[in-house]
Amino acid sequence: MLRPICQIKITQQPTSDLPNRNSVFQFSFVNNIEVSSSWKNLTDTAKIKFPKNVFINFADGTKRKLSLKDTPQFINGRQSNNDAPFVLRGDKIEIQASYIYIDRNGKEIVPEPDTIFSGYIVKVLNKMPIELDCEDNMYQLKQIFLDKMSWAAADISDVIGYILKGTNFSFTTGGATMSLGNFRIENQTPAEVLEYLRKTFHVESYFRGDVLHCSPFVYYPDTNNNPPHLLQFQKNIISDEMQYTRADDVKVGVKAYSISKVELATQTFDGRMKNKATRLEVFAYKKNNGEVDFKDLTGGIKAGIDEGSFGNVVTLFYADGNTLDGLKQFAKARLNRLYYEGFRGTFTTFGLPFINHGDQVQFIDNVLPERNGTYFVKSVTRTYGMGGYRQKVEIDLRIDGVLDKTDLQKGI
Amino acid sequence: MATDNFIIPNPLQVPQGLIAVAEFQAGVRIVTALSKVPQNNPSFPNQTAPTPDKPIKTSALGTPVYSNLVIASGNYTDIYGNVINYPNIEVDTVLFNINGSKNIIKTPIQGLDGTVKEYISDGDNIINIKGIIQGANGVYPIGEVNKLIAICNAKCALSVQSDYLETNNIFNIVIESYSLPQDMGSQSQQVFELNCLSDVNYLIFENQ
Repeated sequence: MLRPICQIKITQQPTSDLPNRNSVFQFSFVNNIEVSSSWKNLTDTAKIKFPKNVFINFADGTKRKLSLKDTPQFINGRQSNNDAPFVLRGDKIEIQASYIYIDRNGKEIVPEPDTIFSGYIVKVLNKMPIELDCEDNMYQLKQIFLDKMSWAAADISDVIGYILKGTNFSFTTGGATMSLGNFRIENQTPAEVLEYLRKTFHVESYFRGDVLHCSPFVYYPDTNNNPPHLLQFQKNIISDEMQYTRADDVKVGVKAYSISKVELATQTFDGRMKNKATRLEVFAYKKNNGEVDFKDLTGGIKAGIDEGSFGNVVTLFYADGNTLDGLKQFAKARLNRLYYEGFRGTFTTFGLPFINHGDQVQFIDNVLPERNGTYFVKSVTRTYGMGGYRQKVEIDLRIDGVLDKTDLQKGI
Repeated sequence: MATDNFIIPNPLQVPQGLIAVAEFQAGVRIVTALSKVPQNNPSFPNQTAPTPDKPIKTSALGTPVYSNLVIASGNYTDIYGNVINYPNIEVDTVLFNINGSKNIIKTPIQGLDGTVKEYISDGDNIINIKGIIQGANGVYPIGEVNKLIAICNAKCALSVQSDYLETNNIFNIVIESYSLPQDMGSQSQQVFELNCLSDVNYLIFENQ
C-alpha cells in the first residue's frame, strides 16, 4: 500500500505594518493541492485547500485558533507576532509530497519528499476550507519595474542578465546564443519582458528552483542526457487521453520566420537611430506524396493554401541567420520532428516516478508492443489530497526513431 | 449393570449423572492446570491473579458503575453572533459501540489484478451511545433531559470524558443524529441514543 505524505511550509514575510512577521509554519495535512507546471505558461501555479478550523502551536508554547485578520497586539511595547494574520499575499510557500511505500524486499521506504512547488502566495480566499493561490518565483519578477535600457545588437544573455540584476536568481540559456537585434526595455517588469520574448521570438521561460531557464529551445541538453522515466501501461498508467496517430494522418504546418534589423543613418525625433526590420517567412508542409514543400510568405504574401486544413500550425522563430535557404532548412527539420507516428495527449499516473516537464518518459506495453516509445514531457499537473497523489502528464515530441543524439545534445 | 443404561436415547436428553461427571472432570483438570502454574516464576511474570476493576462510582441504585459518560459544558456562537452556553451532563447508565474506518483510495488499472491502494488517513470513529437518564421513582428527569437536548442542539464539537472512550483516544465528539424515544410503561427514565463522530484538534506548528 502507498501512503501519500506532504509537507507545507509557509514563511511569513514582514510588512510595513507588521515588521516582526517572520514566523515559519509547517503542517502536513491538506484537503487538496493542485500544481500546474509547464514550459509553456511562464509561471507555475499552485492551489491549496486546507481546513480553517485548526490551531496554531507557537514556538513560545501558546496556542491560538487560526485567523486571517487579527490585529497585532502590543505587549510591553513589543509587537506580539502571534496575533498577526496567519497568511498574507507575498508569503513564501513550499510544498513537498511523496509516498511511503514497501519496496520489493518488504522494507518500508520513507523517501525525502520531492518539492512539487516553491513560490509565493498571491491570493488568500478566506473560505472554509481556506484556499491559497500561489505562483512560483515569476511572482517576484512581476513586482519590480526595470529601468530604461536599450541595446543596438542584443543577445538573449544580455537581456536576461539585465532583467535579473538585483535579484537572487541566476539564469541559463542552455548554451544557446540568440541575437535579438535592436532591443529596448521601457517601464516593464521582467515578467513582461519574458512574455514579449515568448510571443515575439518564441523564447520560452520558466523557473526551476531559483534558476530561470530562458532559451530558444525548451528541452535542454543537460536534462536530455537523463534516462527516461519508465511507465508501463498495465502497471502504473492509471488512465490516458492519448491518441495514437500514424505519420500519414498527421496534418501539421510550420510557419518559420526571421527578423533582421538594420540600423539606418537617420535618427528619430527623440534622437534614436532609425531601424529597418527585414522579415523573412516561409510556410512548410508535407504534400500527399510525403515531400516537403514551401510557400514563401515574405512581405505578407498569401500561401495560397488553406492553413485551416492543417490540424496544427506551429510558428517558429529562426535566430541563426536571415537567408531564405537557411529558413527553409530550419522549417523542414522542425516539420520532420512533428511528423511522427505515436502518441499525442495526456496520461495520468501516480505520484511516483516524480516527473517534471522537460523530462523524458518511456512507455512500455507488453500487451501491445507497438505502443512502446519515448517522448518529451510538455506539462505536468499534480493533484494531491483526498483523491490520492496523481500526475497528469502531457507528452510532446517523440524521441525514439525521430530525434538522434546530436539533436538532443544541441537542445530541442 | 444392564447395557441399556449405557445407551443414550436422545442426544438432547443427556443423563444428569453424565453431566455431573463431565463437570467434575473438567473442574479437576482446571484446578490441576492452575496448580501447575509456577508462582513468582520470571518466565511467567503476569501470572499473578488479576486485581478486579474498581468501580468509578456507585449508582443511585447502589450498583457499581465502571464506565460512565460526562459531556463537558461549553459555548458556541450562533449565526446571529450570540454566545450560547450549554450545560454539562453525567450519565451513569450508558453503553458505547465504536466503529473505526480508514480512508483508502483504491485505483483499478486495466490489466493489473487487484487494485493499487493509497492510504489517505484514518477515518472518524463512528460512535453509537445508548444510555438512560434515570430519575427518582415515578418522577420524569426533566432537568437532565433538558440538559441533554441543549447539548444535542449545540453546533460544535463536544468535549467528553469516559474511560471507555479514552481507551480509543476519543476526547471530542460531534453528534450527527440523536433520538429520545419514550419507553412503554416507564415514567422515571429517558432512554436516548446518540450517533456521533470522533473529532480531533489539528495543529499547525511554528518552527523554533
